[in-house]
Amino acid sequence: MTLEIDSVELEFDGKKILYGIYIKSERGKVTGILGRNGSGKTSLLRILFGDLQPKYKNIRSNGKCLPRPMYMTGKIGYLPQYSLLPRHISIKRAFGLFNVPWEQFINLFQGFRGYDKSRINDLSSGEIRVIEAYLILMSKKEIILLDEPFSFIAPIFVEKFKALISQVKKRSIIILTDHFYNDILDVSDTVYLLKNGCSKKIEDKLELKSEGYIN
Amino acid sequence: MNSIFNFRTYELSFRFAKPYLWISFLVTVFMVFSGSVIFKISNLNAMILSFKILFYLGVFLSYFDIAQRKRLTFYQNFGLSKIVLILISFLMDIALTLVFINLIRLF
Repeated sequence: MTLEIDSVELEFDGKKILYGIYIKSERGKVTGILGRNGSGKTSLLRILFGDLQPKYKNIRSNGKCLPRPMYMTGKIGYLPQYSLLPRHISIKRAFGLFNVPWEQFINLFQGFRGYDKSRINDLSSGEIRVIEAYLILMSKKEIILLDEPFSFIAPIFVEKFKALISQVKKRSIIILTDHFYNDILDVSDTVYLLKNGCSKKIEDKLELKSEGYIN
Repeated sequence: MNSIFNFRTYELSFRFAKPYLWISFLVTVFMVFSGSVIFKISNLNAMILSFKILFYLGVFLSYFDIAQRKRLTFYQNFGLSKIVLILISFLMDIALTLVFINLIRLF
């Protein structure tokens, strides 16, 4: 399965944010997107998810155009930068809704064992982030979009998520973005850099330097 | 389309609708008592329906606000759009109101 997006034209208040974009992602490979603040990474993920409508866009799955917002198909999961889960939902119910086994989560993140009867608002923001990232990753969607999955998460958990991403990529298309570029480079098979509204495929860290993303 | 026949759709819609159902129900109770006991309004049912249509139109418009829109992402992850959520909320509200009005008529 492949997912491609191009011919995107997005502007806010007359300022062009995205216009020269081509991203291709496929099952079995993780696609990482890097870029400075305001480069349009989140907008690009939202366009793919279908909750942001640009002036133009062309999204194709296996070469077939997808005119409807992709979230309506129910085959795509999106972890936004902001909090995803409703505050008053119980943690166990959240796992039930996403059809993800709680026991499997507990085996991996043992520190959460005592939380089975808690509600989301009983947890810290970092703990909520771990649960949200896990639920989206393990929700068996065909396409998974992760916006800053490594932010607010302890380094030990970041390593666990990187291992999980490597497992999940065998069955799902994964596109992720984060400012922790080392983690993105570690986990991604293909990396694109967004700069001046355009995307550029990046081969190595040196290219990130030459593009002025890192020094 | 499959989501219409899925129990999870209605559970999620109820979760989404809960705050609106409370507000709408309280206003309905107020309208029923003030309209039938104090003001003796003849077309009370039409007034309640008009209120609900306007109320849910307001709810729909409120989701153009960026902060409000973020609340939708959770439901969109289950394939539910804003229109579907608000439509189901409206229908739940109408059903709840019909039950309430028929209960009131018994007394």
